[in-house]
Amino acid sequence: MSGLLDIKNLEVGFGAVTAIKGISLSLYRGTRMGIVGESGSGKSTLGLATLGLLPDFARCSGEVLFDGTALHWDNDMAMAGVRGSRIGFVHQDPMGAFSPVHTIGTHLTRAYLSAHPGASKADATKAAVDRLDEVEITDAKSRLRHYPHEYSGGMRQRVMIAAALIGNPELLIADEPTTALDVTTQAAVLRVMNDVIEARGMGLILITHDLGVVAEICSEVAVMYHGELIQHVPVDQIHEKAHPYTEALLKARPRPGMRGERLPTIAELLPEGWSDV
Amino acid sequence: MFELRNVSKTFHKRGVFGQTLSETHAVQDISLNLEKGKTIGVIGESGSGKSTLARIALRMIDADAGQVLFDGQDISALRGKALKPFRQQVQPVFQDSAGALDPRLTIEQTLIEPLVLRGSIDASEFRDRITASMTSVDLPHDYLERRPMELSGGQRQRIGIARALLMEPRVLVLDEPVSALDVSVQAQILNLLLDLQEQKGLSFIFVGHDLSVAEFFCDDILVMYLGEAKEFEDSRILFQDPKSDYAKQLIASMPRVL
Repeated sequence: MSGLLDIKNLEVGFGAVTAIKGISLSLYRGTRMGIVGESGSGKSTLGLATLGLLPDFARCSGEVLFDGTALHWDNDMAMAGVRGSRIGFVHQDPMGAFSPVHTIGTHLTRAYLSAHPGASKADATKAAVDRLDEVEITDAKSRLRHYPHEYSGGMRQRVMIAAALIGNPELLIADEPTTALDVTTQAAVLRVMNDVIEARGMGLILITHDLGVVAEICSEVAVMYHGELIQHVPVDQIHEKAHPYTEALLKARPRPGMRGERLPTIAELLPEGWSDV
Repeated sequence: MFELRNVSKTFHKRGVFGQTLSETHAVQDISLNLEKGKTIGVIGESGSGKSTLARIALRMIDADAGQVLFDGQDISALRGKALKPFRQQVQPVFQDSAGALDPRLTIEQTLIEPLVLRGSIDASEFRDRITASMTSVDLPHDYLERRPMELSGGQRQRIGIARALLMEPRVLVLDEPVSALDVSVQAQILNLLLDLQEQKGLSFIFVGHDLSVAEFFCDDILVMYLGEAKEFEDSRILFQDPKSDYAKQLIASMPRVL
């Protein structure tokens, strides 16, 4: 059975470092997968590789199929038809993602026009307003004239989701979308993201270091460690079938009622010699 | 032992002619009293004034109103040399360990600098102090030859703590000490700080935005919002039974524990 996204034996290296060591993973339509791992686990590289956004010096092998068709990363024309219109991308830093000299309206209408070549400007503006409404930005019409810096961090992140949705993609890849946000803002952005994904029946890949965020909106969790996929289970079964590293990751977080204790560290929790994987 | 009494700080945004354009009440009438061996957490979101409060406690900036007291002595008016004993007793540890360390200096040079500034100790004592502080943060001594960029984030944060400990302080002001670290490293640093607190009877002011870390790490917690204290409570009680609306909202926003 082929999924919406099938990653087959993907390997990515930078110079002497192998960032991803042969990963195979399938995401089915309507599934929300959280990819978690610590720094250097290769989780962000996985998202970027899927969209062919890695720098030229990266070595890639293996393949990624979207809806049964292999993605050709070196073919810019072909990838342009995928990025935005079939797979939307949201990343951590919305300030870096938007150009400070263009209004939000310009960003959104351009994104629309590149996904719908030949559409009219009025259509693009209408789509931009609709998408801002969808991510619950109030007074969307006048908000189009504002610049990125005039938005708060949480609003910018919602605008980035709106921009990712404007091409009507079937899959959203979000790389640490709420990491830079305060907790209350994070909760609001996750709720909006959740509602949008559910209403559209989209697939989601949420890349994060925070298992709590995965618990909020994902149905599946894939755990990465040093470039390998070590576990892939439904979120509610994470404890039943936890891999030692996943278990360690879960236990290293402080939880209620632990005041005065010491946290178990991952090195202590892992079986002897395991970290050499 | 260490007390902030009704401190306030307002930042003014001024125009070209020095006229006030807008005012930000970063900290409004906040008091806290830190006892030996205890940890007070200051939590809040961006713009809550929690870091400003930490900087007032460190005397990095001056409060507009209120007092900073150490051992019952009002040190808010002290300057220069008179402030030196206080500076030794109350030491900072910052979030950005890469930014807090000079990239050109080796770790050894980084650690020697405060000792030289402090003066009145001889070269052999330098060695002992540095050796002791490296041992207390569990770092091997050959790291002294390295430069900050050759260390991982967790190791750099250990150096930040070692440097603070050199002065044999009684209070550490920890401004988001683990926010930039992975969970596994975060656990190690939190454990290290708790061990040091136990061994040396240190008191901590912990500034952070991660509520579960604060609940785990602090005895009492001050919840701040837009410069105001919304609630001050024992950490266990705060998380079980928050009284203020803002604290309730904050706690309800915490991601689910898996």
